Amino acid sequence: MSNPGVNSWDAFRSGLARVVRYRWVWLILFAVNVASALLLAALPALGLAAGLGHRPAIRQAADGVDAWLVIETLFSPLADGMLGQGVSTPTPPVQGGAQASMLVLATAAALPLLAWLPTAFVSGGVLLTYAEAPQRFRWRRFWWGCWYWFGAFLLLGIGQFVASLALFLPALAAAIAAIAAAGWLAWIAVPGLVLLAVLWTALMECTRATAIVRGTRNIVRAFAGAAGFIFRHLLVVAGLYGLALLTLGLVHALFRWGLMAHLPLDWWPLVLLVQQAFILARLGARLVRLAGSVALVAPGTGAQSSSSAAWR
Amino acid sequence: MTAQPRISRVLTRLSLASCILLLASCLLPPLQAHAAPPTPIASYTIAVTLDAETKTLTAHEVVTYTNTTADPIPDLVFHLYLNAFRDSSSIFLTEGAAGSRSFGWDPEHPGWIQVTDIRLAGAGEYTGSPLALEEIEDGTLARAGLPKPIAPGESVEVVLDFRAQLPRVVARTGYTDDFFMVGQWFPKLGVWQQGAWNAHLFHANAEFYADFGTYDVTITLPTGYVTGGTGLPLSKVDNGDGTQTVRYRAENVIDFAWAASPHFQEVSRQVDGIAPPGRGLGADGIAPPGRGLGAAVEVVYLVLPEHAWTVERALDAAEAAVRHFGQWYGPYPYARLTVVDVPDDGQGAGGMEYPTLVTAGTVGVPRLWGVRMLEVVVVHEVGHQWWQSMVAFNEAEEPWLDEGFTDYATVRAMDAIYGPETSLVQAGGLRMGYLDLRRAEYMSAPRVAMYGRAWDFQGLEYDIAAYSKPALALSTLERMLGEERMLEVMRTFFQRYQYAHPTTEDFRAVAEETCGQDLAWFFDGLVYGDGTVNYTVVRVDEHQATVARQGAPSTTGREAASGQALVIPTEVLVTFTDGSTVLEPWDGIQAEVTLSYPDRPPVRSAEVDPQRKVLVDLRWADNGLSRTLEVSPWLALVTRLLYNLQNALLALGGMVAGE
Repeated sequence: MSNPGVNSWDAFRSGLARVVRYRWVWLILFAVNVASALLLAALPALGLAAGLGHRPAIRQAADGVDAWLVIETLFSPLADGMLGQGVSTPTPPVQGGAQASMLVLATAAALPLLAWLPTAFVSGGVLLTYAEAPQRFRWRRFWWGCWYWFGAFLLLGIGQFVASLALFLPALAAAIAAIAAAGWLAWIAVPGLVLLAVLWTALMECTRATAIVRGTRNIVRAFAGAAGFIFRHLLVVAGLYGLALLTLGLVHALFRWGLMAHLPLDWWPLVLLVQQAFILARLGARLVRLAGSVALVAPGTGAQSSSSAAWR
Repeated sequence: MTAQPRISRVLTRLSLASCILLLASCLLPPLQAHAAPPTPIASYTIAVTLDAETKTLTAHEVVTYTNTTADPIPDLVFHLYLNAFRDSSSIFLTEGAAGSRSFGWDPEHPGWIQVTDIRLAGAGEYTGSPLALEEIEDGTLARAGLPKPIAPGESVEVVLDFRAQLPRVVARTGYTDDFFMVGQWFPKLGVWQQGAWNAHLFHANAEFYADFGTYDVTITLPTGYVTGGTGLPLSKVDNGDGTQTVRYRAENVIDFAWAASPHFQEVSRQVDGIAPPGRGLGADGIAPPGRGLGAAVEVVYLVLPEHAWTVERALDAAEAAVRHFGQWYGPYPYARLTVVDVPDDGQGAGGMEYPTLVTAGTVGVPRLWGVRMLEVVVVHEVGHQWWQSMVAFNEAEEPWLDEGFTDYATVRAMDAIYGPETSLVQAGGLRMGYLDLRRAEYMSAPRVAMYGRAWDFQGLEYDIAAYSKPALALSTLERMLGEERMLEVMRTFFQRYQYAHPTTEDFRAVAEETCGQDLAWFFDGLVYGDGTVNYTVVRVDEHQATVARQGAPSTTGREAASGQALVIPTEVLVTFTDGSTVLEPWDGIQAEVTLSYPDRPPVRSAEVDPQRKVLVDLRWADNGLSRTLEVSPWLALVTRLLYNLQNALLALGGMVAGE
């Protein structure tokens, strides 16, 4: 199933070409990200308007000096109780104390769900589109791919989450203990953890790519296939992920240090524009990596996915 | 001492003689010096031997006590602090069962001190007379009756032999493996004042109180150990039997502590002399005897190898602290300042101040992140050189003075060195000032008066009363008076009470005299009172703004303060739709005030305390109110929220779904 003829650079270039060719896929994922974030932001934004919208203090918070606001929000329920004593005049709500805390908790609870479900859904369509390059983008085919692999990728997401905890919590604890025992071990522990994270990410992404390319919803078989592929082509995969990480690093450097660091936060339309461009670029860098993975595990660049027979 | 984590009458007289003394001090090895040397009241000469295997001390101590009061003194009362760790029934361990300092007391490795002999010396007919030493309650105090009272102006010499078992590190003192932090280790006299000994049993939250004197301490310990101690090391002799003897001497100090470890590495830095602007000489132009103003200070850091990464950070912080405090309050008059690193399993010894010696601490201090707890601890402990070691408050009876003044000074120094918004945390987009931390702590339980004895407070209350609230209150006072005026208050207080034991009321007198104002709002409201305050704007109409003072009245304090609301004078900024503004003073006495502007354009917004001077205000967010929605800042915040959520979604999506 592997494509030994493709090297890291070719896979990266192929991934880039597919991302550029299927701009709809990119935009769909961006729309999913924006919609999910808007859904999450709606209640806190309304709460902010109700609590601080008429307070000049919001200007200072908007300028970025907001440690005091976080502190006041955290201790707001306590202060509410304190101000209840000896108060003669009711005051318009500020953060609404307990309400603000509830909003934060609700948003934090909804965040993983909104990160997981929509992306688990669209993953099938995205990878199928890349696997069938250079065919033209077809909406029905895209949605069919989304639906066909939704259950499998949901399961894979749960497994990935549990396995990640089982893998990284002990690894992280061991690294912290090692660094606490001898500071110089940080030079080994931190790169080791990073390598482990990259390898784990590659394994999970290749599992999804393998499932699509083989047209299977059996994630165990796909996982075994991906593991075997990475084992046989470790350097090629490492090269692709190295290039993808380098791209991501450049995107971060350009936006975070080059652009955003110099933007006044109160110029919000410009800030919004730059921020969304960054999200788009970050998403693009990730898609290049995913499309590159498909190019690596596909039997031949541009080959029809095995799953096509199943689709009418 | 810090919560985890808890300055010179400069110059007085000028004469030819003092110039000669100054010159001599440059030619001879300097010992300790001071701007206005006090009469030594309690001086100690101690020869101590450390048995590093059994962790015991064997010592011979000579105490010279001079009665500078008008009372005849019939007896002597000694602190025997180490007996707090003898067994679990001590007041210290009973009170501090849940306290951080007593945490880790190990009954298998207790501490104690036993005086094996005590006699009078140099007392004429009574020379050599043994004295009866009677332990008081849990044994952390002991009284020795005298055959005749010490008359005013008379001195008495007492010779003691004692043995002490050091505990595993607990409450500032003890050992871990071959690290020794030896504090509160010798029989030490209380302070005679107002016709009685001011000496309290060792309480969990309490610290120390002692008279100034000269310490000459000779320590014998195994060779290979590196030591640090109060004052200056005078000599180091290899005894040829596997032991060495080091000698320290310190003048005009209230205590002596020392540390030893074979693993210490000594690094040092010379800090140039510091003098407050225009205060190089005293009012009459006299340079201080001993060492001249502007003499250099050697900052020594005894660091353990595993904490080598702290060297530059700790030295930078210590140097900056010495410079700032020297400029603000008065020069550091001693030649040396030693900072002692403590091992990870001995953090109970960290974050403590002694004259010319402080301990730092590293556990919980993320090394790779921009969290400056190490710097906070160092700056805070160095601050105690001014506000405890030189201006020696009664830490047991008025803990807010030494910890509060020091923490306020720490806030100032941290802000000056690292920036007000980043003085505690500066990691990526995370920023937090040290004052923010103190405000957060205060807001967790603000109904606490600052004034009180150490044992009046429980748990977090003590931290708030002694650290957070004083830091906020004094910073508020500074913002009210202005920086220069506040510095003048602090400098005057320091100069007047260097080498003395001032009280809260002494500070009140100096503050009100220096700034020429009645500061009842500060002293009755914040120091003695536990009331809370929140300033807010409750309504803004077209031509009116209604402001209110909320909060709980005080339940503590003196007659005048008890039951009263906390009222802090402030200002109201009213902004009109044409952009013009009016800044109105508001004494805060009336709980609610409506300001009317019938002849001006419509009011756009009103804000109480627009410059955020009142740091004890429970809620800054409601200090202002606008008639219309603040659309642009709201959108700016929503934009930022959206962006952060998008990034979080991408990160989490990568983990669980891999789009």
